[in-house]
Amino acid sequence: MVANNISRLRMSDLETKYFEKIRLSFPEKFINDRQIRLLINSCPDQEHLHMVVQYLGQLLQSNSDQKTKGALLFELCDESHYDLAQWIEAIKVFKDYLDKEGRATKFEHLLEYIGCSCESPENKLLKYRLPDLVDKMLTEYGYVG
Amino acid sequence: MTKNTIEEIVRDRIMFMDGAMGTMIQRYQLNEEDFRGERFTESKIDLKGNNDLLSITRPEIIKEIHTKYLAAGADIIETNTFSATKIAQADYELEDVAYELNVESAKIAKEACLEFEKNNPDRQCFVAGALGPTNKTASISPDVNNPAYRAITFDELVENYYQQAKGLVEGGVDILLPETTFDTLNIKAAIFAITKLKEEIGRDIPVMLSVTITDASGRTLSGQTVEAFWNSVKHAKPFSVGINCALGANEMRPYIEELSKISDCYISCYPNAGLPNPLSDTGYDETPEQTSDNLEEFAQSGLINIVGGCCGTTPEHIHAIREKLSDLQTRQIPNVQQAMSLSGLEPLNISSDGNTQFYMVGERTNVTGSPRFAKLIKNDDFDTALNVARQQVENGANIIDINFDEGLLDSKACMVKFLNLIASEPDICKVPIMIDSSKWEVLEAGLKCIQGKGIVNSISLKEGEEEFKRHASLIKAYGAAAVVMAFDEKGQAATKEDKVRICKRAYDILVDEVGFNPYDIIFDPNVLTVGTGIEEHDSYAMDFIEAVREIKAICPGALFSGGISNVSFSFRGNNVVREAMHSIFLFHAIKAGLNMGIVNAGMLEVYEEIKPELKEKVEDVILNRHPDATENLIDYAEQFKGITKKAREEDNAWREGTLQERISHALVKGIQKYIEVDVEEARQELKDPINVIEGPLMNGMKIVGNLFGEGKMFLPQVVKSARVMKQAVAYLEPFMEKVEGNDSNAKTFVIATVKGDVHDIGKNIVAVVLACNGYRVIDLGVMVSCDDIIKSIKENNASIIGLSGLITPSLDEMITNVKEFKRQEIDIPVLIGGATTSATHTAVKIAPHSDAPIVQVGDASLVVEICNNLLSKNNKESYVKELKEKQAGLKNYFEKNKSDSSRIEDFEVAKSSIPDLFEDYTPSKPSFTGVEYYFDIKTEEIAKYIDWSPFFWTWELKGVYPNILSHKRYGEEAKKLFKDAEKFLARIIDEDIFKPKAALGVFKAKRVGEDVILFDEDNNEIETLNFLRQQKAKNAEVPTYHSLVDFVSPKEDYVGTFVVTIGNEVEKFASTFEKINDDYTAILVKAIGDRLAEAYAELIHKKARDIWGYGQDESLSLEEIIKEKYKGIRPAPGYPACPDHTEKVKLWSLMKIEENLGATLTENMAMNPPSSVSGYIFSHPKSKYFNILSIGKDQLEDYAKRKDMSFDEAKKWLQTIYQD
Repeated sequence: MVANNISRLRMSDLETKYFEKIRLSFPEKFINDRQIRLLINSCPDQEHLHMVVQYLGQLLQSNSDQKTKGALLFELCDESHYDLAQWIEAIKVFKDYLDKEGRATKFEHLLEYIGCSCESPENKLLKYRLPDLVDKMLTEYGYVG
Repeated sequence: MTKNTIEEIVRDRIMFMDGAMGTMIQRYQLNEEDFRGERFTESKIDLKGNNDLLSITRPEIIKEIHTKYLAAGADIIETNTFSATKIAQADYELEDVAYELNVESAKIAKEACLEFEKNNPDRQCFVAGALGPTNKTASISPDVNNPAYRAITFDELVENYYQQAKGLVEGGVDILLPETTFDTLNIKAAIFAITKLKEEIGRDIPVMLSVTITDASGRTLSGQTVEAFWNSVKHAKPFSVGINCALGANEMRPYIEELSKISDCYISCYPNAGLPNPLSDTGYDETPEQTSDNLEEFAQSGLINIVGGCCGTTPEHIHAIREKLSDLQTRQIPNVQQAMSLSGLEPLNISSDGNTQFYMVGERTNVTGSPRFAKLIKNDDFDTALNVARQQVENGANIIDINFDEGLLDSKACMVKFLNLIASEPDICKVPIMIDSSKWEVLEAGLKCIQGKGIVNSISLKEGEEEFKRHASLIKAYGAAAVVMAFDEKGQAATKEDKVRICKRAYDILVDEVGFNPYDIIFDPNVLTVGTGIEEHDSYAMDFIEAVREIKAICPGALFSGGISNVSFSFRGNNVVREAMHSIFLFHAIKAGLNMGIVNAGMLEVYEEIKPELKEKVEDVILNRHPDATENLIDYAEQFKGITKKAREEDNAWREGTLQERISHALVKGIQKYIEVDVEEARQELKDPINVIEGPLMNGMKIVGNLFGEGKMFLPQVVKSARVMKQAVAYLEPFMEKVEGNDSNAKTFVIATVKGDVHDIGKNIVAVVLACNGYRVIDLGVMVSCDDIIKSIKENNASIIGLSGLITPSLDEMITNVKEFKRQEIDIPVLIGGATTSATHTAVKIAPHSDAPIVQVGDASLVVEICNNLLSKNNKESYVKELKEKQAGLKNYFEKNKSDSSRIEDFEVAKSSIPDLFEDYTPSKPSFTGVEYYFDIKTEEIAKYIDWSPFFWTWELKGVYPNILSHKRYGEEAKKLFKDAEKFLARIIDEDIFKPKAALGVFKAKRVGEDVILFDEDNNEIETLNFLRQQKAKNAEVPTYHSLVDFVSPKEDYVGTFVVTIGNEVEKFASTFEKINDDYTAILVKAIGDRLAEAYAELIHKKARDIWGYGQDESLSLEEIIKEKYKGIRPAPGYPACPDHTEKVKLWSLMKIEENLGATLTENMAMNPPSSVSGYIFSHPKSKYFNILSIGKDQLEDYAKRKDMSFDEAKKWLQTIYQD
């Protein structure tokens, strides 16, 4: 389980520091300025930010004919019960799971798994925290992809 | 100084490439104006980031970067042309300058080299023309919903690469370098284009190939392993092959090592400066010191010949690399064993020398040889056809043969579609493909679809030497192997002499004139039928065998194949003899040198297991040992006619075991045939039937229970075991009545689906599992009131209660039950089960109402352990304590996290977010309005629309159909289950058992506010449908809060409604099995009923789209319809986009469902019969499914008012989404 009390850094500093670097790495139509700021401000620490940026980098590299796919994370987040901060924590849970298993997966598959977890029947009436829910789904069902 | 060729240099020492261009360009901090220069000031698109363009607008910068790399020690610099194709430049609308970019970039690099050499006469420099992967993939669909789609074709890629290579050569490059390959089919297109260019200009240009391994999986993005990639591209005879990008040197090492071992050309390696980290100053973490240290070890291990850097590396990195590696030895090219090197996603190497392994070519995906496959393709059922391919691979085929040569098919289109679909199925496309057709255009179209190295089946001299050479040259350019038939202008070779003569002639042409690799030749010297009674046919098998032996001796490298089943055609209908003939023929042909064959693995007997007499008589025929051989075999074969393999395989060895072993075996394997005989034997032995149950039967069931608990048996198997157990107990029951004073010690479990709910599959499974484990189960059925449950508890002195339900209102009903149990002082444990139940909901909402243990059972496999613990004298206390602590923790967790709930947007704001979906869209007008009823649609028609995945979930086999059939853990059981399902579905269809009925309403409609008003044909208002809108605050710049009303025009539109039911016949048919204690089949039937209901909804939706008009030209396959790739949606009341179950009442009233279909709604809005589905149909092309997620008080008040319902009543029905 992911701890609930990850201390959040003062992201306004991070925002200033990292915005330009991320901006330079991705085309505007892949991820816009607003989304970059949102991303930076939703990350509990630099490690999480680094992780998401790396995944976005892979997504851009592997789907260069679908540049708008960068929005996928933000769209799935908006269509779920959870905010971006919980999504990012859930991505970290998933990544840790994959690392432990010595496996890798495409970022879009990872996001879709999290999206599906949000819709699982047992999350219908009472909502788990998303990282806990994803941890639970991975423990109970695993990941075949 | 004397100029050396690049080959002379690299043979002598390690050569050095440059590093990243993009990283260096970033250092110049160029702005939009820099990229535009004077020439592109009018561009409507931002050009910043189009680095290749700088070769025209800021050539001095590019040249300066090149010079810096040369000064740092690079021997080879890459042109600034990574994206200089029309495809990639289309992003900037600069397709027209693509060619010029290549010419100019090559000139700049060449100039930089010449100037540098002039100033440094001891250095010799080369320019490599970089050809990037483009931004499109030829073997991967960008549309996950349409795996057969391709954003780019092989031909388009060839055109682009040809233009790029031509420009680079015109500009003066020394080498061509297709690099950063993430899809092998893309680089195969580049190789094809370069080959064409080299032929046209009449000179050779060294080609360096470089692939990108995406991640730790060790595969390309398109899924190939390193060796599979090499097998796919080695036909290019490259100067070097290597790996670049995506990984740092450390991560890249195992793949470089592998490539270094298997490649017979030079090895290049230019990794990134570690993994990307946009937060570091260079975008990458590794310093020049680190990168060069890593690469130094590569050189010390003798892995590389050419080394440089990719993303994040700088002249400082290259300088450090050269410093560290310049004195180290260059890699020696190993002596790689020659073999036919094929590949799918994985490699398949077949050596022709001394190799007696036989490779099977699957023949079932051939329309000429498999009537089933042909039927599937004719019915456009490619999904099931894929399954045929998958089964072949699962059954051991090393290669799969694919053929669509059938008069009524568009063979070329079928080949392309099927190969594209296969490319998305890793468990199929892991093996090489044999593209089989008599039409060249089909073969060529197939070759343009496969990223692996496949085989063409076939070419021959039938149409003369010129055509043969033309086809062979193209096959070589596409990088495939070829089956060469022993045919020439005069026809098919039948005798050994003709076979040898024709094959030798073909070999000489291929090897000497076309330059074909001899290891890419597979001769098929024609397997012809023996045992026909015609004397001249008697030697056909031996002619083949001896021809193989002789051709092998005079055509070194070539392999041999044949269509094995041809040999036995004269014995059609006698599979025993045919299978023996195949095995014996193969036994001798393989010894002669046969390497592979098109063969049905199911039609082969094990050579050693052929009866000696049969073996002798078949060998007489195959080896043509005497003139009466055929006659003798025909006489002898009579006894085997009509004997099936299954009958032969039935193994009764287990019947030799002890009584307990036999009973246990029958229970574990679910074999009913002998159980009564064995139970009677046990009864005679043990006298008392109770002793039989509690002795051998329960011992057997304990084994079942243990295996299930250990995950070694799956639910369908356990239910089959229960069927045997029940049969045994039923047999014993009459004897039990005669024994007085019998009182089983079994604990009693009362189970029911709660009031208002009719779903019982999960409940039935739990009942069966508990019954198997010695519990006395009282199953009260469905829609059971709390009073009836309490009555049964008291009457039966129950030990545990099980409450089940599927729909969300059932959860409230469970709470009501538990409260009432407490009030009546019933303190036995309660188990809670059903798809919407959860441990959390149970802990937070149900358990607090009782002092007794309330346990949620998420999986039938857990129920026995839970019950045993709850009733165990020793364990109960600690188990309950642990349960309560866990539930307290869950409750605590959710109360704490309540404050984390998402913000709710103001309802007025949410409403104002609606985009106008009707500005440029006029709704389609349906061909009729009103209600139509369907009573005559047959189950067979409906079954075509079944989505099977949820069927397997019912049985707790977690996976997606059809992949579940090959699942590592569940595959075997899933296959058996599916076979049973298909069998019962066929029976249901043949005997017309189910009576499906449906109602489809199409009404004029208009959106008014948050509602949709329906009208009759005279424009009278007949109903108002109330909808909800998303309210959870969103982050989008311009957020849209969806509601289904947005998909209906405020002017004039139409909305559909439907109800389908498979009828009460499902329950009735299932009950016939329940009565004979066959729960397995009963559950199977109900699960099929549920699938048919969903399928029927899909079919009715298709009818609705046809009525609307837009469905008639959608040309979707059934598979695509099942995946809902059509226009429009059919959301169901009670589900995420319209979560209010009570809206179903309006559908029932509008279409008079009870009167016409006989289906009803329970007080909790469950549909009865259970195998029923209802919903709305929206036609707007932008309509989509979504989840309402949460609503606030302001919207709930508005909704209750619109519905003329009290706030509390509305809150009760919408409690799952209401956020106070």
